[in-house]
Amino acid sequence: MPPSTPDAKPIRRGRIGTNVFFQILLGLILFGVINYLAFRHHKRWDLTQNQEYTLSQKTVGYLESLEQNAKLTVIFGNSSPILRDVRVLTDQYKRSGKGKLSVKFIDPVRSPEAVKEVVNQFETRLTGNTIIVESGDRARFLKETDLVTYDTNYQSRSRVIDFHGEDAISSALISVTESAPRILYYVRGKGAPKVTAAGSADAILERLVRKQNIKLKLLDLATAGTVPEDAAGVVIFAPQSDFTRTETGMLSTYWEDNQGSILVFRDPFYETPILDRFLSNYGITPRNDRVLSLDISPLAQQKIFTVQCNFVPVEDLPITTPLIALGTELAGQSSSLKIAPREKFLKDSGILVNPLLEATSKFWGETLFAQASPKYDQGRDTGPPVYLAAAAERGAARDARIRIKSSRLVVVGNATLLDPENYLPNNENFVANSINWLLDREELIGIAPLIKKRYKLDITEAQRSKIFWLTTIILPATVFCFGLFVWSSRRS
Amino acid sequence: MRTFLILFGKELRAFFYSPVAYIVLGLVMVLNGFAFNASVSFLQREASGGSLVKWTFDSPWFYLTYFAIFPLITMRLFAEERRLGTLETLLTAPVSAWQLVTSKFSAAVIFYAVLWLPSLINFFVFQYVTAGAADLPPGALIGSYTIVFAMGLFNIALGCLASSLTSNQMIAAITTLTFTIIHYLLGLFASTAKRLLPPSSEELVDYFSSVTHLQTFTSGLLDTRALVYYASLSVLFLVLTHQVVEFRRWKS
Repeated sequence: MPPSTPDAKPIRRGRIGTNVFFQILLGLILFGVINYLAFRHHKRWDLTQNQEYTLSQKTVGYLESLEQNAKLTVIFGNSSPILRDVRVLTDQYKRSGKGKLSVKFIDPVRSPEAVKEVVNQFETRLTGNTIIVESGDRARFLKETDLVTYDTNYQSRSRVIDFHGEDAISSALISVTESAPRILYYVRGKGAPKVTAAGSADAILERLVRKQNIKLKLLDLATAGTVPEDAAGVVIFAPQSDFTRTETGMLSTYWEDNQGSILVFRDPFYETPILDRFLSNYGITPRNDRVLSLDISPLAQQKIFTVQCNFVPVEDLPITTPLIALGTELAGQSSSLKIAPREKFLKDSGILVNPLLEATSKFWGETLFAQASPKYDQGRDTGPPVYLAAAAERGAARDARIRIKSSRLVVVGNATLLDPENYLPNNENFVANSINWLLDREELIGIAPLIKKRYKLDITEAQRSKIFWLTTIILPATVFCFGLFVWSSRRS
Repeated sequence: MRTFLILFGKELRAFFYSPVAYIVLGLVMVLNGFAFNASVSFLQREASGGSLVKWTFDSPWFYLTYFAIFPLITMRLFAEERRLGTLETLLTAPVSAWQLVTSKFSAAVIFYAVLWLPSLINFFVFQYVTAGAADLPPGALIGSYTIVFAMGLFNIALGCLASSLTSNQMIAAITTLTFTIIHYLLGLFASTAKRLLPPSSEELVDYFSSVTHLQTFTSGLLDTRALVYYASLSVLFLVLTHQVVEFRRWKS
């Protein structure tokens, strides 16, 4: 008789089925919870070269320093070609505003009542897509055309060629959160500014300061008699004729007695000894030289006047801090600046002088710059470090936490920084930072948003055809042949 | 782990020893070639805010490749084993359903990744022929391949489930294709019909929309939301596939 075997355990299908049901249910719940958390707490990395989807350092710095609440009301229809860009941008504003800045979207098609409410609140009429930037009882209206540049000639329809929403919104925010615009006086009567087909440096300066809620006003020292009391600063831009002693006297009074702020762009083509002496009084002396280097080839030597330079890091002077890693170039011709921070008269007057821009080591300050092949002469010329811009400050508080009004001066030995033909974003950032430092607005110092990159391919028809054959015919055919080889070798 | 590696190796060999794999690879390369050349033509005609990388992946040609790949890769994974009767044999061996499902899934993911490699070569071919005429933003390249991989994880998991439900490869392929398209269209319709939804739901719609995900990542932005969404969907579908395979074990 065969030995008896124990009965096999019956499969409890009902229990397994229930178990499976609960496992699936648990899986679904976990799926829901994970996605809910991911939706609420997410992170985004901007891997674009120009950080196109990240607010600029300047905007972030400003939003962090916001002291009063601000609000962006975005009234945009869904058909707007820039709605997505506006959404991404305002979302970043909201995040960087850290509770001080709120954003509200209104679709005029879906919510006409909400639009009507806004119209009644501001007692105005809205024409097209608009962003209302408000803080307290002040508001500014930005139209879609303020945020974007359209190419209206493209195949009879508008095409977006440049989105500069960050510039427009930040500028509007500054104007509504600050009091009345500050006034920067531009000294006139010292020669006509250079105007080219690309525009003029004056126009760029005007646009640059307007974005920061600063008003540029002309000042004729000869007739004004004094620097106006409402001056937040004075700009002396590439003077072609010299100042009189009376004029520099007015500037001295303004700088010393009124804790004034002066920005000087010196054009080395023109000699201005009285102005130079005025600057020397504060520790910055323009030299009568040209900063250059020699490009030596087997056949000839060429003078290079476009100066490659680096921003100099200075403790407690934020103008160059955000730009240190970047470097820049100064086109045209530049003269070097002699700075003497340890001079006794400066110490006695409490003036601190610091370099801001330094030429790279291959450049020197040449006094015989008119010669065809000048050579560096240690006794006569200026060797490294060659400074091209410097700042002087009188009455600065030693303790960074204490902010008291001080006299400030920035001098640049070149007048092409804002030249439209030689435009470089870093030069504009440097000028903007200098102005903001002069006007005691350190929170606005940083790097401005870069223009969004545009892509276009410039290739020949032969290259185009070669690319097509390689990518669409030859490479796939090679793979097919390899597959045929694998198949035949496995069959054999 | 050893069992998993053995099964994984077997699945991978099954892919690469089959001439069908090379036909699929060749076809994908042809379609990618067309997508690539279409974007080259576009950027030759006019300047755009999107790079060559963005236009290659955010184009109708890309979706043709995208929809065709998953049924082809996944249709035979479980359906063929069921048709041949080898699945039951495998289930009687000391192999867990998880090992079986994850090995097949992993092999399909590796093959999927291999299918996209030639599209990367296209960019280098372009740079070689034109002596670097294109500006290829590394951020857009990283973003594009990351999202293509993440979307692939989900669709392969979906294909695994479809294949495990039937013994007919054609039915598995059609099911995968249908659900891949439905998922895409749901996102597309939701994005288009945003104006009918309350404003607060727009971000939610973007969360599910593969069109939005592709636009975001090909622009050079990496967003954890899309990555978590596709990864969690893949796990969910693998759990369901596991249950279907387990069901075969205990139903008989």
